[in-house]
Amino acid sequence: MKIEVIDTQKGGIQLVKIDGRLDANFSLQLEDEIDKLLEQKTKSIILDLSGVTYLSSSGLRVLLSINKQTEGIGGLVLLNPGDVVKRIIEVAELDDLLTQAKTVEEAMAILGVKKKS
Amino acid sequence: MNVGVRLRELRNVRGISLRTLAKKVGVSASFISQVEQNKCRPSLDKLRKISEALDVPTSYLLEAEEDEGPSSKEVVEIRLPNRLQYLSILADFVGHVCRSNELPNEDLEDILLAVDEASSNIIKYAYQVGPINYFKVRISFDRELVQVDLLDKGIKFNPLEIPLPEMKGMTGEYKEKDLRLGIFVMKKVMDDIRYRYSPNEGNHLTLIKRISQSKGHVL
Repeated sequence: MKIEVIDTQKGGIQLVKIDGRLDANFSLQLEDEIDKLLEQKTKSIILDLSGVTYLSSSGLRVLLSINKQTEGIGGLVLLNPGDVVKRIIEVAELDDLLTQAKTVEEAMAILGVKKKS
Repeated sequence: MNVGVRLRELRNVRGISLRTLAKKVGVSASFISQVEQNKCRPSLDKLRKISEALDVPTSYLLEAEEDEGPSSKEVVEIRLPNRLQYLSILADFVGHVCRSNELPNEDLEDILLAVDEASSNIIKYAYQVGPINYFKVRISFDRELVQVDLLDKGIKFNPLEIPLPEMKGMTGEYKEKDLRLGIFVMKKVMDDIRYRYSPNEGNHLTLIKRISQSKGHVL
């Protein structure tokens, strides 16, 4: 798995791109990376999942953890998950909890709305 | 295994092209190709000629169709160390095996998910990672179902005894419910899950998936 952090230059929103399998072996690595960001100024995360080929329950747990941690201060938006990942989120019945967007702009808009509310 | 798959495999082993075989049998190459894809059934006479051309008794190809007893099941097995890094290798293995048995994509995704969750549990909970130890994943195919057996000699761990999570409350206690989420997902994508334990053989989890008829990706 590969993790790339891209600064969006927009107040507290970080774009994080993950590639590969988000399974039990790599979930902790992602969690650590996100924890580091959240300890700093990051309030919201846009997680680009377009390159993620598989997501296990450990991966889902990390997503839920980020959701929880950013609740009230910003938020988490999943960017462009592929069909396999989308299906796993649906199977786990977490599609209501995990917000998804097709483009960075859409994700930004969602986070903008979220912050105001 | 069906006639088509067995024929193609045999032709590969013999190194005989579609055209060469077609010529020997006295049919078109596209006919052979259709038989291999199970798009048409050859007559007994054609099957006999195909068998002759490939130098096998006709029964070899016929058996593929008729013999569906437990002993005729094809079984493949992999043995892996109790380390999470092998999960991706396991997924590649299961993927290859299922694809070579022409399993529909959706079923393959379900099997990959269940096998990954079950194996993660073996490594994390039955073995608690711990010293190097091994677990086996055995896949067998039937005409209508795929069976995956996972065997380990870790501590007794029965995923079926773990209570399922209230999904609506997941965000709160996510850490504790990690294990339950995996089992919830596993139960949902499989048609049947069985567990047994014996002190000699350890944990034995059986996952069963019925092969769906439609080959498309249906959500």
